[in-house]
Amino acid sequence: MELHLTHIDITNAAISRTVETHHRPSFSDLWTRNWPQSQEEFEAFVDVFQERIFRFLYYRLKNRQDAEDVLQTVFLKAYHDRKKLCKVNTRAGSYLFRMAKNACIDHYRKQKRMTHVSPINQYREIPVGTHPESNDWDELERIDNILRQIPVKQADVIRLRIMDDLSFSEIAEVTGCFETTVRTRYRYGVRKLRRIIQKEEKDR
Amino acid sequence: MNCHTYQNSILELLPLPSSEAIPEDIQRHLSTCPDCQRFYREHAQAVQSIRLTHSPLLSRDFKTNLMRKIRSGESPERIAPPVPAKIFQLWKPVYITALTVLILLLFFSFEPRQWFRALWHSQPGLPADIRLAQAFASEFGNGDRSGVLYQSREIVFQPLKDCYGKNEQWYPLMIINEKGTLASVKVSYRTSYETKRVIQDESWYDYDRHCFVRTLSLNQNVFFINAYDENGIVLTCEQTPSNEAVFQRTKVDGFSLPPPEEFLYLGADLSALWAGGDQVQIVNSITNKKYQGADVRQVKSTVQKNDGNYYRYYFDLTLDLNKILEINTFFHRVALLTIRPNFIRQESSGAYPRNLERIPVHMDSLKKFRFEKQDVPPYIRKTNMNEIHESAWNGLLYSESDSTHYSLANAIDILDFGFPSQRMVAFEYTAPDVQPVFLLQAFSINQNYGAKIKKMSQPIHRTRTGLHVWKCPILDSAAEHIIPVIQPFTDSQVNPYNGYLAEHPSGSYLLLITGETIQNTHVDQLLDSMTPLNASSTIGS
Repeated sequence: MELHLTHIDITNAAISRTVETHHRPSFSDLWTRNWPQSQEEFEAFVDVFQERIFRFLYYRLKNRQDAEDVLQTVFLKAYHDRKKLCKVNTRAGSYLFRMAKNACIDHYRKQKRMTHVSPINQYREIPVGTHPESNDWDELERIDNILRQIPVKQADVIRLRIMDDLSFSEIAEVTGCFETTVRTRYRYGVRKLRRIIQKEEKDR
Repeated sequence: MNCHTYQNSILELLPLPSSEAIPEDIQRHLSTCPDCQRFYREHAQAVQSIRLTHSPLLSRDFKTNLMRKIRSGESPERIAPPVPAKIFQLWKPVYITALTVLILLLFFSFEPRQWFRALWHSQPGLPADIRLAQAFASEFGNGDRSGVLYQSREIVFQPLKDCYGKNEQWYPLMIINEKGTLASVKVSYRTSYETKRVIQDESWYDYDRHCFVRTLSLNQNVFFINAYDENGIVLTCEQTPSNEAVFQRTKVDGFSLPPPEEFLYLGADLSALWAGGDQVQIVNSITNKKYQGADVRQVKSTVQKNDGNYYRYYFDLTLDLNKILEINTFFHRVALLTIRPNFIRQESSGAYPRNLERIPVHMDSLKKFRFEKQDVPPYIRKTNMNEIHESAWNGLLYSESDSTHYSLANAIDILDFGFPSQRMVAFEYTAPDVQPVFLLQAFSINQNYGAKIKKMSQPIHRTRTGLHVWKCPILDSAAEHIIPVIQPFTDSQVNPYNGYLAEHPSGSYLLLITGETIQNTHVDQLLDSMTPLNASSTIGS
């Protein structure tokens, strides 16, 4: 194991903070300005967040086309409501994630309703071919099956942390919880995750 | 730091990006602690197993398309409403026609005359529990407090075809036991019957001589007696293990006979039935039954007891709420008892059974019953606010100050007619012109009725300490039943009953009933002297 030393801290909390600062730039670092108003500003805003939000949506919708459609809706809405959002004076990054989360739920609802009307919509487009994404569907289903065995709140934090690469402070902003709560949920969740994985390996 | 703390820190580090470092002290600990190394390895593997092998990438033209749409001023997509099934669209007119016909049929299936009549008599806006409370209160208001009060009830033990509900089928009976305290007795049949059985519950209460007699009989054969005579002797009829009746006469010193509402009225008996449960639902309706040509109102109360079982009580009341006609009790859906308070009447003094030991106790009847006695916690009879202090609700304390216009004449505690397992405390004040004012506090007023009565009342005054006073027409009629029992008003009274509701800022309610139009300054003096219990450190002596 190759380890590099950067800080020596005494307390656990201090260690966590140290690691966090090295992790990646947070929402507030990525976008320090207020909610974008002009088209130029908004373009820069899209540049900063599009990949991260896309990944967030892709892991949940398990379909590239759906994820891009929903992402487009989120950005259009973000631009459409820019004056209102500017007054709210909220953190742009976390707010965008929350918008994406809600859009995801809307999409599920819409799909459920459409499914109810026409059974043909139950068909999902699964990418085929040699593209790496062709295996994503099965992979994401497998991950979903594992995370379903963990309490929902802990699984949510694990998704945001491991799959979406968000820091604890960002997760706290997105979920509206205290950062300490997020950390605790993550720790408990990972412990459960390990037990589930070990059990699955034994069963094989 | 111990291993547990390090492990928590390690968990928070996962998933560890390759470009990032682990703090030195964790690294140092990991190099020396095999347990933590294993912990780290296993958890890192677990986390890795739920990571995708690659990161999905967004289409290259996504941003171009998005910005084009923004420049063209396109609005965000709205989720389309669900498209109705085609089959429904085709048959829509048929469905609508059928639904309309169904609604019309239902509407005309009512008998409009009866429907409107019921509506007219139903006093819209009067909550069901207030109706029930008023009907119970009317039990107190039958005649004056002299002579002998005689009342009779018919108790029907409904047939039970199997054993389901057998243990729940018992008649609650409040008695005075040999210690001079109240006891609740469960009277039940030893075996279940496939036909109904009727027992008679009769009682005589002599106001003048301060004595009473209560008997239970089956087919006119007395099998149970409970009495108290003018010599201060309580007579109880105990059942021996061999099912024989043994009379026990006990001299009870320092005992004052409680008023009949304490142990002879329906509310007292029902308190045993209602105890240990929360009233979960109470509804009322007009039934098809008739009483003296008029419709009968039914109030249904569902109580879930601590054992999780549901007990239902159906109260048939007259429309004017002056009489309880019948009470039916159910265990889930099994009918258990029907209680019919046949009549309550005043008789001339002395018209009650004497020489009780000579009354033949019918042994064959007695053997059919089981009596299970349970002492009731002693009631509080102090003439001060300690009663309220002992209650499970936030009452108001009064200060016995001479500066008020009114002076305290009497403190009376009776059963809370809306919640018989609780107490109601009434204070009688007299004004210099000898007009009485009654101030009532009760659990049911605080918990159930206060807010409802307020909605039906007109605000008239706010006292200096912030108590709001409402004029309540509904209390006028309720007071009509209660007040004559406590203190008859004089005949010269023009407007004998005025009801007011006062709400303390702490959320406590109290009722004010008076024989005169109360003056604001006097109300202020009386009400402002009251303080809520939770704000008081001492209780009046």
